Amino acid sequence: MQSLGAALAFGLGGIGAAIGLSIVGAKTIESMARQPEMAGRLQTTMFIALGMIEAIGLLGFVLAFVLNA
Amino acid sequence: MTEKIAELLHELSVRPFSEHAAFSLTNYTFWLIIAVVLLLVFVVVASRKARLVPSGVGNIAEAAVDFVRNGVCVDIMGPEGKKCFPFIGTMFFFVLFNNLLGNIPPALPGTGTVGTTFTWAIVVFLVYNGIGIKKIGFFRYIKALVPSGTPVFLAPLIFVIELISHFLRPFTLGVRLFANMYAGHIMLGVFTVFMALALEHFTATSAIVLPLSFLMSVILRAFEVFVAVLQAYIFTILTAVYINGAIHAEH
Amino acid sequence: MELIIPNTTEMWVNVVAFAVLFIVMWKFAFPPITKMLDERANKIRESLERAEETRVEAERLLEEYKVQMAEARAEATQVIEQGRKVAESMKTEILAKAKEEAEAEKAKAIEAIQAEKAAAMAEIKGEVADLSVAVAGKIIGSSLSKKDHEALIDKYLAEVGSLNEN
Repeated sequence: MQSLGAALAFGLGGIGAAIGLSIVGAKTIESMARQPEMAGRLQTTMFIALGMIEAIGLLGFVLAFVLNA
Repeated sequence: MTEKIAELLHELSVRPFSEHAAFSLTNYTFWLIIAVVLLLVFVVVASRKARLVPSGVGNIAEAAVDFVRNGVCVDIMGPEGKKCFPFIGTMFFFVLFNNLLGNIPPALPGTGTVGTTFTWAIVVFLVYNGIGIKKIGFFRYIKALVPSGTPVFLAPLIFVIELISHFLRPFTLGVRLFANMYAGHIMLGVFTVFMALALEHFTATSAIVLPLSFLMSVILRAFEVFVAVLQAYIFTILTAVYINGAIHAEH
Repeated sequence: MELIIPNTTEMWVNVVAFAVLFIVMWKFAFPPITKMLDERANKIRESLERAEETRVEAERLLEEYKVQMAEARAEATQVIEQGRKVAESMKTEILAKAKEEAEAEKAKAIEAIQAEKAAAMAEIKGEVADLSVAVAGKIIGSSLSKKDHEALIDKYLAEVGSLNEN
């Protein structure tokens, strides 16, 4: 039961993070294609957003271990 | 299978490096100290070799320094960002060296434990709030948590939300770095466990599992090197963003 | 749960590591590198600026040279033109003079010839008169003296005069 909860925590957290990351990635590529001269700044901003979203997915990962222990 | 995984997790857990050590050094801190020593040697050698026409180690260090100074500090904070470079550069080199050292097999990444990442995240938290408070004073800094123009009835709510988000920052900063390193090593370990199991009871399935696992572990190793650099970059850039937010708190 | 509870020993080690690293980096490691980077950036900027200045200067000089070259060429053309004009006028002058001289020479020569001719003519006339007298004398049989001659002429004139009276 604990393992199931852990797996769910990680899995559901992962879904959210994955959707968020895909939107960030897609929008960044779109913007870069539209304004190639802004590519540098867009990339920086993308990494910031990416890091923040990733943290949510990783919180699920950590939660899985915490629940399972 | 389960016991092998448990063994792997035990291997990656925080435990004393040696039972005989007088000082209770953990396995992660042992490698962390090695990484710090390597880093000190690297930067001291690089700074000795700083010439107008760079070469060798000086070249690598200068490229990295220039990347952090212009690509992170100046990019995020503007020209005054150069003043923050020593702190942000220290963050970057420390995280980078630990992450990369963790990819050389017997070593563990010094950043693969919450003891390290939370400490450094708390240092970041204290430094950026310290900069903000030093700049405009404690009460104005606290007041600046609520953006000007917020309706009065919403202000307490916004204030609480902002306060929570500020206190969550060191937590997410630490967890992100730790979980990336930890998860990466678990993945690498899992494929190693697969290979070990396939070799233990050699069957027809092993013939498929073994090369695939080997291939995956090679690919993952390369990916881990990429993640090591990327996480160092993200840790640094978020530090810069937080400091920038504190400098321009009232805008 | 122990996974996210930090180990206190690790935290203290990290605090020390941060302190040592930050001080070493801040005071010893970074300043030479950043100084070098700034110096290099300045040097490159200066070099570029100097190169730009040199280029502008070179262009200016080239422009100047071009103007000077054009001036010199125009001057040279003018000098040649002037020379040609002088030569031309000299030529016509010399030619005219020569012609004049030649003309004068010719005139003088003609005059001389004319004089010679007149003299020769006069001489011949005298000769012929004498000769004809001599021949006439021979034919008549006696030579007439000057006196006789004059008397003859007078007689002839008198005969002619009497003829006129009729």
